[in-house]
Amino acid sequence: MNNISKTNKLLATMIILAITVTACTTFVRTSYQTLSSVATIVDTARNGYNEFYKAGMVKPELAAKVEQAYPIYQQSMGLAVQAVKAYQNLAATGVIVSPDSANLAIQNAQDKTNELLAVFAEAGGPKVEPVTIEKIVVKGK
Amino acid sequence: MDPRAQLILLIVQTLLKYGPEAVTVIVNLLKMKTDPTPEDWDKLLAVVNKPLYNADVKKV
Repeated sequence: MNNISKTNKLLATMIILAITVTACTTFVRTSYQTLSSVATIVDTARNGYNEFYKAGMVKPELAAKVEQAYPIYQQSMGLAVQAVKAYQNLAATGVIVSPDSANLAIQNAQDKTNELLAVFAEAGGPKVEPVTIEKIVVKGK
Repeated sequence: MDPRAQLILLIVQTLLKYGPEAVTVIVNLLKMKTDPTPEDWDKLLAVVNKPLYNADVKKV
C-alpha cells in the first residue's frame, strides 16, 4: 500500500514536471516530451493496476472496463505519435505544414488517456489528475 | 517563481521524497537538447504498446 501511495506522489510530481520542463524547447520536442511523460504516467498507473489485479482486488466488471479502455488509449496515442512524427518530417523538409491534424490527434490521445486513467483509478490504481499533452503551435498563426 | 528555480526545487524535493528512480525520469526529460530522433519515437511507442498485463500476472 505504501508503494502505491509513493506512486501517486511520483505521478503528481511528474505531471507538474511535464508542464514545467517543456517551457523552453521547440514545439515538436515539447509535444514529444509531454507525450513521453504521459506514456510514462500511464505505464506507472498500469503497473499499479497490475499490483491490484494480482492481489485479487479488482472486480471483474472493472477489469473488463480497463481491458476495453487500454487498447483505445494505445491506438489514440499511437496515432498522435505518428501524426507529430509526420509533422516533424514534413516541417524538416521546409514545407509549410499546418499542425491542425497532428493537434487533433494529440487532443484525441489526451481525451482517451484521461478516460483510461479514470478507469485505472476506479479499478484501484493510482489516482492521477487529468493530463495535458502540449499541442504544436506555429509562430505567427 | 522563475520556471528554472521551480524546476530545481522540484528536482531536490523529488530526490528527497522519491529517490533516484524519479530523478532519472526528470533528468532524461531535461537531457533532451535536440528534436526527437526516430529512435526516440520508437522508444515512446514501445512504452505505449506494452501489453496491459505484466508477464507475472495470471489473467483470471
